[in-house]
Amino acid sequence: MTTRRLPVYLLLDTSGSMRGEPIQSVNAGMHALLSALRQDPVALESVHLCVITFDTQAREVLPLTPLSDVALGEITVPEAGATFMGAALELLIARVDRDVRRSTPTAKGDWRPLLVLMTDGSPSDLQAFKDAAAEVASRNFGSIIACAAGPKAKSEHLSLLTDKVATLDTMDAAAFGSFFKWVSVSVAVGSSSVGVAGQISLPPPPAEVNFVH
Amino acid sequence: MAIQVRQLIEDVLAAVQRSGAFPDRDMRALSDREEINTIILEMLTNLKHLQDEAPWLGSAASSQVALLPDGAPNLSNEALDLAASDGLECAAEADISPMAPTIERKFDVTVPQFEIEADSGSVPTSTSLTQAEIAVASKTPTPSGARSSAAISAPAPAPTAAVPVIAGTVTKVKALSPATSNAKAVGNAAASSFAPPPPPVRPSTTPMRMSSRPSVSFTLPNAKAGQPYRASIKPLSGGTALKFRQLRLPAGLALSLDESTGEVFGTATIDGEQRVDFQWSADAQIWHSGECSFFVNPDPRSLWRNIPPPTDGPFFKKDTDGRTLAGKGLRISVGSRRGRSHEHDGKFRDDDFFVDHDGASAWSLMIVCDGAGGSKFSRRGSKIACDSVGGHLMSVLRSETGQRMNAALARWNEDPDAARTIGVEFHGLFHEAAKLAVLNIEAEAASVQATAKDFSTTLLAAAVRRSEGEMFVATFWMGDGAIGVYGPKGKIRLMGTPDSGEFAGQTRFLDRAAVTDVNFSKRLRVGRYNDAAAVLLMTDGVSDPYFETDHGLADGERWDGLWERLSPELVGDEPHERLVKWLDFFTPGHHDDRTIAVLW
Repeated sequence: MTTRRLPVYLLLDTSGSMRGEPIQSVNAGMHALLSALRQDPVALESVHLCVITFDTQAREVLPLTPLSDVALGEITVPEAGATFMGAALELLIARVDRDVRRSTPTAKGDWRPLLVLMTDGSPSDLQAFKDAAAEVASRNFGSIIACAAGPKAKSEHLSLLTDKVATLDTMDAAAFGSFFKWVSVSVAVGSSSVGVAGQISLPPPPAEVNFVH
Repeated sequence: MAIQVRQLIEDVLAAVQRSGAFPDRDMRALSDREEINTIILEMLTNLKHLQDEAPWLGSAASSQVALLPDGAPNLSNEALDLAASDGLECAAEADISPMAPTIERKFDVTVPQFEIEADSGSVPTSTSLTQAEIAVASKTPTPSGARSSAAISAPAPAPTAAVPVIAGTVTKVKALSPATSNAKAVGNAAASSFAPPPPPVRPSTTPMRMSSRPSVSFTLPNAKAGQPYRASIKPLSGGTALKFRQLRLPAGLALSLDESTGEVFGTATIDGEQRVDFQWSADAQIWHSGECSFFVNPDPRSLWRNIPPPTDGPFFKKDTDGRTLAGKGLRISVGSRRGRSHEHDGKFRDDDFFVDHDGASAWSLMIVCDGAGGSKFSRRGSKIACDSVGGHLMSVLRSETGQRMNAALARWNEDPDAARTIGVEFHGLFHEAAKLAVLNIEAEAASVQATAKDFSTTLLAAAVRRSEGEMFVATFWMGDGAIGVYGPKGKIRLMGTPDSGEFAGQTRFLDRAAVTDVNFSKRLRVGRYNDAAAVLLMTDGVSDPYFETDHGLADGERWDGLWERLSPELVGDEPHERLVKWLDFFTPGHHDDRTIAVLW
């Protein structure tokens, strides 16, 4: 018997401004996320992770992989990159369409996937982003969380994608740490709320994360 | 040692001397020390791009030293290059590199303080210096394309075999950095102490090659605690068949190395991130140190908690419940149990049930309800729905209407209209009952300033009249779960189809829209059988693990399987207690509340 999968898509900004402590904090946050999820019995059975990074290109650095098999290398930032968030969403859509399984009479499909998007700026490919954001809305994600990290991030673009937009005032280890911890709890909640029609209600965000409604 | 290497080392030491970091020491004299040579050569090997301006490394020309001792391992440049696209390797192969800070530093001559410990007899697991230095150095891409970020592990041996670096004395270098980063990789202590500033890396047209000092990363797939494991250590870049020996693991991990195949095998007993080191060779002549990380996943079963729900919560409901009744020639038993998921989260059971039997009219009624996961008062909704529908139906069946239906039933074989009459009667009955349930839920919601949606629930109901070998069944199906008339062996009559959506877990609930739906009647079925053994109603906490899909639900053999497991519990005076225990079965991926009602 196969267990139903909960696909979790993480889209991470690797544009030039993320160099240094920010991306380092993101890496640490990702490791913490993995560690936390691995301690959750429901997540261990069902969560599948896919990580897409975006700068001047969008790259699938981790294809949809069961949590127990994930060995996450280090996410790096190329020398100088813009922020092609639209391309990231397009890649996401392509992957979701390819990888997420619908229920058929003979096989149970996946749970509704979760999407987490983190950026410290705004989309360099704004039109593409807007078009893709509309597409994403029709892909029936269980929950979409967007994070605008740091002073230069613009949360209004992210509001096109979801109403759950969190902002981080700083881009240091503490802020990213809190954010990723919250993501791990949200994924765990998501994995146990999988039967829910409509939007899943997330746990309250930590102090460092501000919600934009 | 080759002359060029010596020169190189002396260049380095001269630069250190010039820096004034160690005013009281004669750095050049250190070139006699084995350990220093090793350290310097390691550093140089792993810095793939050299800044021309770096005075401590001499000119670009002198950096074109190719060290070719005897017996150099035959790794291709591709292997050494760790060629990869930007960022991470693909999941299965990626090495869990220690976290090295990507702090951009300007080049400065200050050499950090090194604390050198001679540590005889131990193979270096990883000198944090080497690891992190590599990671930082390789982070800045050349214009021709980004280099891999995968950390290069393994301090390599000195070029000449005469220096038994591996087997014997090995030096651990701990760089004391003023600025240790906060962002430590979880469980990865090695990375935390680092970071001498490397020379800013710039594309060099003449990268230094040191084919004698291969820098290779290895991977091992993740393991599961308590489960047999057998996997090969593989170089990250793939390819080359290598030999391995002398695997060292954290104490208690309980894995071993099969040296003939290079496989790590056994049953891991501890979980968490694990680092192992070993020696590897391409030719079984020259051995190098290697190491890699992998993760041992805990056994999910060991992670389940059981937390009672809040005793002061509104609409308290017991974790388990059940009931057994008897009628003439039949028994009814129902068990309901809080699922593992709710136990883990300290939440209430959301399922509920209603069973009753009227001896006078010989009518039985069974109802099971499943409160929606995301609705905060769905445990109350399921109870209201069960009680509303159950109460209404039983009172009608006990009354004149019930007698009328019994009369029609008796005429079933002779009168073709009888079946239709009963069908219409039940349609009206179930519709009224459903409306009543919805109204009661709406009223309750209003009284606590909530919405009806907060009380969402499914509802499956069966009215059964069994007499003299004939069984009449009238059912109503709203939501997921299953109602089946089972028997004889291999035969199942499914009394409808579950409501489901495109994605797993989506279903319909008993609400205003449902009762005003023009297709309401499609949810009703009636039938009369003389070969049925049992009527079963269950919530999806039971039907999902046993049947998985609609397809599975229609499969008589699967029902046989369920009956085989279930019928041994339907014995004794209190079978519902056995049912409640039985409902605790563990099936991966299925941790919902479970309720099953059986009439047999």
